[in-house]
Amino acid sequence: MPEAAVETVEKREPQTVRAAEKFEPNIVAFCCHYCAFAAADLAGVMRLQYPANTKIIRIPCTGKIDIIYLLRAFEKGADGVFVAGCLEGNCHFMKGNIVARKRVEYTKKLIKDVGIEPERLEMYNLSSAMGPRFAEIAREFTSKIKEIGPSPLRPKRAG
Amino acid sequence: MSADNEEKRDNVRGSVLIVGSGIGGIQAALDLANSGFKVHMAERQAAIGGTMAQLDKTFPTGDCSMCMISPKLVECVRHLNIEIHTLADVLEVSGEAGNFKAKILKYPRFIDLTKCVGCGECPAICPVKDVPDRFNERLSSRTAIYRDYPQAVPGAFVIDKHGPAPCKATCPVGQDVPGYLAMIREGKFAEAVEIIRRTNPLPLVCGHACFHPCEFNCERQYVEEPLAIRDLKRFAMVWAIEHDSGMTPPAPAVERPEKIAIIGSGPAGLAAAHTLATRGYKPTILEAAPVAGGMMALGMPSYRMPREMLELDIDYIGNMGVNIKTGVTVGKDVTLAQLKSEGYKAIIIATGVQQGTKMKVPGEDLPGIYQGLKFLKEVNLGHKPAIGKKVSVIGGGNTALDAARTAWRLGADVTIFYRRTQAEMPASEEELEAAWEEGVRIEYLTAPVEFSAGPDGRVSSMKCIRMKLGEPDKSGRRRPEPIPGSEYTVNTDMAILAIGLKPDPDYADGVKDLKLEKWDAPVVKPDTAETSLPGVFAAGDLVQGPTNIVEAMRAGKDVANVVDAYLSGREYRGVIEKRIDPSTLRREYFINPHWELDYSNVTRAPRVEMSLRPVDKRRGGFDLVELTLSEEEARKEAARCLECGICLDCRECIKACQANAIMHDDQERTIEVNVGAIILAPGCATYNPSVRGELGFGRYPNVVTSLQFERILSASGPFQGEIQRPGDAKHPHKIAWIQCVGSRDEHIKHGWCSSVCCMYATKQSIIAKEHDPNIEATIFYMDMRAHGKDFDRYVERAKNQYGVRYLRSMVSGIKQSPKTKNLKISYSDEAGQAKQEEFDMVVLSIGFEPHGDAERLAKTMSIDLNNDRFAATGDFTPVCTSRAGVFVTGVFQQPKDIPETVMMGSAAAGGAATLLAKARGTEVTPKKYPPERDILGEDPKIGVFICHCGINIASTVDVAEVANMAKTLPNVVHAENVLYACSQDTQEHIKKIIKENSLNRVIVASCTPRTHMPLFQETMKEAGLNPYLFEMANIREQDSWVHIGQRAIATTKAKQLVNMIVAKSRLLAPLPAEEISITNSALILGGGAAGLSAALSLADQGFPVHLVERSDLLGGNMRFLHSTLNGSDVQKFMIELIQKVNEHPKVTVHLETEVKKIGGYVGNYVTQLSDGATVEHGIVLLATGGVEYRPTEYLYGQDSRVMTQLELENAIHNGSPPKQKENFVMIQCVGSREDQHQYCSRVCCSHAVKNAISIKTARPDASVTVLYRDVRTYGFKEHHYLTAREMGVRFIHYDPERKPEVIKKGDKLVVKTFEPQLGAFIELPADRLVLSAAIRPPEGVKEISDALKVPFNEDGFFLEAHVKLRPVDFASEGLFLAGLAHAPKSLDETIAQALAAAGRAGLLLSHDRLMVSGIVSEIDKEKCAVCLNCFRVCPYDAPFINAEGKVEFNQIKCQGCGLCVATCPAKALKLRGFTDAQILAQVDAFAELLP
Repeated sequence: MPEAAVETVEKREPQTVRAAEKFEPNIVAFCCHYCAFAAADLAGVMRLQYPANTKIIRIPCTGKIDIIYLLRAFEKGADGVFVAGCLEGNCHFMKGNIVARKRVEYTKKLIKDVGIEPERLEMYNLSSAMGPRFAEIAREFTSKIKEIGPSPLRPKRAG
Repeated sequence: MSADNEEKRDNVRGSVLIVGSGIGGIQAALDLANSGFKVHMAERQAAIGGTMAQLDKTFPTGDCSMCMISPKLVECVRHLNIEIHTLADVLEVSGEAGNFKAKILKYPRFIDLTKCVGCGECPAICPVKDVPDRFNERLSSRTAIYRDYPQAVPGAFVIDKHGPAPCKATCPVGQDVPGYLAMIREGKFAEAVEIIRRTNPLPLVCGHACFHPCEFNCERQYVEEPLAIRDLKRFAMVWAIEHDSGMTPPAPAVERPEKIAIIGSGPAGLAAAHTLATRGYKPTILEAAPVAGGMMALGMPSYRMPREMLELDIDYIGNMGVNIKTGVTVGKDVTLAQLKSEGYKAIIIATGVQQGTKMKVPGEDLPGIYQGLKFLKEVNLGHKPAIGKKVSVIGGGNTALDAARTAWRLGADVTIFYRRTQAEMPASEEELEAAWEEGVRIEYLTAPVEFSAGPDGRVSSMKCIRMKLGEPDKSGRRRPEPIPGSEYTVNTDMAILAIGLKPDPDYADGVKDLKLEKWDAPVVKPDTAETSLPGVFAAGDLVQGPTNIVEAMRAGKDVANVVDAYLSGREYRGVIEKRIDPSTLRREYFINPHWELDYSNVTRAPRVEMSLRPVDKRRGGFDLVELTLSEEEARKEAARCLECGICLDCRECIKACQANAIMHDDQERTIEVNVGAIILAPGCATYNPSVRGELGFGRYPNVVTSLQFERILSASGPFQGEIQRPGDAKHPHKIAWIQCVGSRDEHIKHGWCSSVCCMYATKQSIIAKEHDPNIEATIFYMDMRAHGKDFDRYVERAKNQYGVRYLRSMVSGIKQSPKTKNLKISYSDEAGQAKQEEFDMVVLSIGFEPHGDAERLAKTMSIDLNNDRFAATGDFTPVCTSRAGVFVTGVFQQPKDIPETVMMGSAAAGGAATLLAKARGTEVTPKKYPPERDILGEDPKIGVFICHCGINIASTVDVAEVANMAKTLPNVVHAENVLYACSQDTQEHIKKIIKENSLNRVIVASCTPRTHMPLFQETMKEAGLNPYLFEMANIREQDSWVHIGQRAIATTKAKQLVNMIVAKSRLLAPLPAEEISITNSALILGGGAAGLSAALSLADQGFPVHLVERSDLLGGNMRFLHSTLNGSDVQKFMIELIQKVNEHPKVTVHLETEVKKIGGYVGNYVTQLSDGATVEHGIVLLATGGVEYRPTEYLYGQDSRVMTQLELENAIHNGSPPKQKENFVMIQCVGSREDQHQYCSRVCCSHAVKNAISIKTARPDASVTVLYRDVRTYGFKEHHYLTAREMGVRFIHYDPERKPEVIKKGDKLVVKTFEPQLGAFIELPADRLVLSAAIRPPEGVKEISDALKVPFNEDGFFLEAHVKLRPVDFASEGLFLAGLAHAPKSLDETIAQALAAAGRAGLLLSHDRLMVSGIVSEIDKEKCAVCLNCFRVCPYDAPFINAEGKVEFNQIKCQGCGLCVATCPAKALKLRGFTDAQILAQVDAFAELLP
């Protein structure tokens, strides 16, 4: 976890944390077909339980990630977005995940500039055999976003 | 099929059998199936994948093993032309190369492969939970119904059934004893009752009065005592009564009109009636006595056989529709003939044995003397016979005991007289004990000879004679013989005779034709139980003589089965199942591998003792003596079951399986396949280190094998990737690896090097440190054998970057510290010092050994094994066994790593393809599809199918609600729920719905697209739709399975996922399946061993070859070699090979030629050669070789006595053989493993050994000293290393920091080196100094790389597409490599790689056209600014500048990753199938349904 995220969590006041308990974040995950999506499948086969906040969009390689996808997700009200690809050095398409990481890092800066916490966006690497790690990421990221709270861009909803 | 093909088929088959399905077999299968051959794959296990599937990661790249192999497995199982036979063994092979017949035995899976969807509901319910998990190397347990691992292929489960358990085998009615015991243990009593009722027609009777033969064979007796099986049955059945559970019979599935009469309502008659009733008959029982039950009602006392229990059993049978008429004596009231005339189609006589046998002694008819059975009948019918005060009972069977205990209850003083001893007594021990307790006296070895009457005319005394035991009689018991003169008299006022029973022949009256035996039993045919009258059958004690309840029941069931077959018009001979002799069961077969016949670790648990009614409460009444177990007692007792047979046949899985896939009656069967060639890829076993006790494996829990450690590291392993000690789950900090366990050890006849252990230990230590950097890793080794490509760098990284400690040493033993369970390793270091060090955990790097079946397989295949029991192959024919047409790959040939195995897989496939070249394409079935419907201009019409997946999705997700939501979405014209989307009938249904609604998009919301997308895309094609108009939402793995119990949340998520995928699907477009034509010829660069071998193979496969060689001679480095390490003649081989190539009509050799320019792409290259020729070809095979390094060190070139190994070899053979007492010094690693050349040249150690042996053979008095860093004689080369040592060749280790020095002393050459054992420098005189010089890439690598755009590594060797799985391919399609151009390797390895490359190339060339994937990048030329960003990011070199100066994409090269799309600043690119619009639609849809 990047240091910035840890700081944010610690700085929060107790009442925000209490509020966070009711808040269910909406999270989009862009997962590459060969590793992260497969790891998510394995988590299922192993019946590893994790919060349902994350919805996966399957892409062939994280190298396909366009900054627009990430921004659009925030624009539409996602509270968190993560990109998950193969382990570094093991990308099915050689170096897609390396490129993806750069784009994610760059987008973090972009959203920070418009007032969205950069911790709402993350890049993860895992192999297809790491089902438990996928479940852990889903848990970890969800609780982190819960701590941060609703996105400022979250549309107001009736009720 | 054309007539031409028909003709070819007659002699050569176009199919191949592959034995084994590890990565080698899989590679061969895919290569062959993709190049026009039908493949049969026979695998012993239930899933394919072999050892590689067990590995966590692979060296030296750290790739996830499962990620690599899993797609290959899926490809295999989905391949139209690969037929996988799992759980199969090849039994027999006949025929010859080109046309073999193979018999394959297929063991039952007990699960229908076509129905099982792999959902995983069944193991959850399976009560057998402690079967050691083979896949996890016994570090965890699995259930009896299981699959090896979640990604296993086929994904179907399998039942581990090794039954019958001895209890079941012994039980005459075949009770699934372990099944109901397990249910009792689990507290599932209703299920226990159900299982008991399944095969037992009289469960309450048996629970109380069965003589329980099952207990005599219970395996638990080898631990302490057998289980109380009968008491547990009683417990379950009493529970059933109390809870009114299972007391009402289910209605039969069919009704049969045929009338059947059964004479006699004893256990045989009742069992027959029960069995017939389950088949839908309504038989009538005719009983002579006033009550039903036969001996159970009349013969047995009620303290042992409570009448209410019997009545309940009889009522149950009555409720099944059986009519029981009492008081009807057949023969008197009605005759058999009458019955027949009344329309009874079958009659079963089961009247049992009723008449007491006479003693034939004077006075036995006196009043006061009863027949035992008659006496019991009187009592049981409520007539009160006069009971004497002093009663004598004669006999030793159960009737005698029953009579004695009955008389005792009625107030008499009872003595039993038995003519033999207690040992011969037929009565059960329990009966005897109870009688003793109650005070019945027993006199052994005595018999009455006369009864005398008293004054009242009734019996008053009995004269007896003492007996002794003589010789055994027919029954095996010793015959009693009277002792003359030992007569004595006993006073008795009542005597009961119970010495034997025989049939009552009443039933035969009126039927003259019924043939009788001399003891009044009817004559029956033993295999059908039919009497001399057709349709009249007889069974039970009447036929078999007096037995017991459960034996009689068996007879009743048997005869009922015969009658059913008879009435159904089926063959009824052979219907009676053969009884299993329990003594023939092999214990090691049925025992749960948890125990391995070794019960030393089983916690002793005494058999539960049934509470008994106190003796003082027994007299005067007939209450039950044995009381029922409590629930707690029963569950505890049931838990003692050792679960013999593994699957306990409880059949609970049937209830759990919604897909109806379970087949407990599955049978093994044999099939025959006709194939042209056979490839053996059965793999190997790994060494079992418990054989070497000093390493503590099996005794110390924290000593594990490397394969176990592999599972420990694996995220899907037993500890989910946490590094733990198996002993106490503690996280270890100090881990030691011990190398060469079971390798390089002649004492255990494992003289070979296993080739991979040094590397996997290095890999494991690195991964362990990646898990936890604080782990201290130490590797105890003899020689570090990192002889593969880039392996040395990997070891250096382990040392320098990860801090792994490598300790050159010999380990002598391991001791466990009793308290901490830590392990003390004793070893001697390099200087020979004895040392000790403590570790938390020890990993034994176990080697390969031939698997247990190697010899049987060799015999079946008629192939030779070598001395080490691996498949024997030739030096120049590395994939050919001794039998033509039978090829071999992988570790069955020699220990080797994954890429070599894959390489050999391709080589074997290439070999088979060459052999069967003319039959290519004759046995494959191409699939035909209807023409694709043009959907251009149509609005999206989407059909959505939401899958229940049995209960896998539906139990968590409200699938109906999801379907209802889907219906409301724009463009969705159809949405529905289906039970199993993947089932065959649903595929048909989907096709129908597509047609009916003219759908142009289809969505299935079910499981993962990774495994199921191809299946549904196939359905699309069959329905005439483009397969890319299909999408999937994963609501199982990524929803229902990970949010169990959260119905609302999971349902909402499912809706969102469906909405998102519907949004994407609106924008889907049909993607073109383009094809390009290809030129079926090859260009091979390099005319050495690799180029020549590949050229010959490709030409023999029928493809024209252009072989381009830079020099003026063919042969390459072979020209300098004379013999192989094994002594084969290289020159002879080379000359023949060159001749074959030169003479081959398909080969054009271009000598002294270089490539000027290569243009084009896969399938369509055009090359200009320096000899002026322009060649069109479909592939390029790079075999440009390597050269021996010209050393600059050690006075090479300055002194003629200094030479390389190649020069020495040449000198020995050509004019300068070793002289008497000549001193040879060899220095290894000259130019290898140092400075910029951090790689091992792989062949030099063997080369040195080879030359040393040849020197010592010629001149035993010559001295040879080899100065080495690590002796790398991997595989069987190790034997030659040992030979060299035995011949007196000295090997002295040196460190790179202290390299040997060559000094000229006068005109003498002296080599100075540090001797580690002595701890001092020594000087060695050298008459000839031989340098093992490195292998270097030849000049011109850069030029070739530029011309073909292929990469090379920092040492100048070309880089294959994937170091593990694509060892002969380049990343760009159509380009292949082999030989030294790839990396240093020996001649046989070069040949194997060349054959592999030729095989892979042949695969490509065998097609006339290449298919292009639909998911590729597409460019909008208007938007493109030709900035060339896409050129920089594309890993496949797909973009190019066309003639107009515009960027274009080669769709063959594009692999569809989309990197370029995201990079393009002008947004001129799009990836078909994953366009920006489609992905953004998904993102927008995600937001639409937010809660």
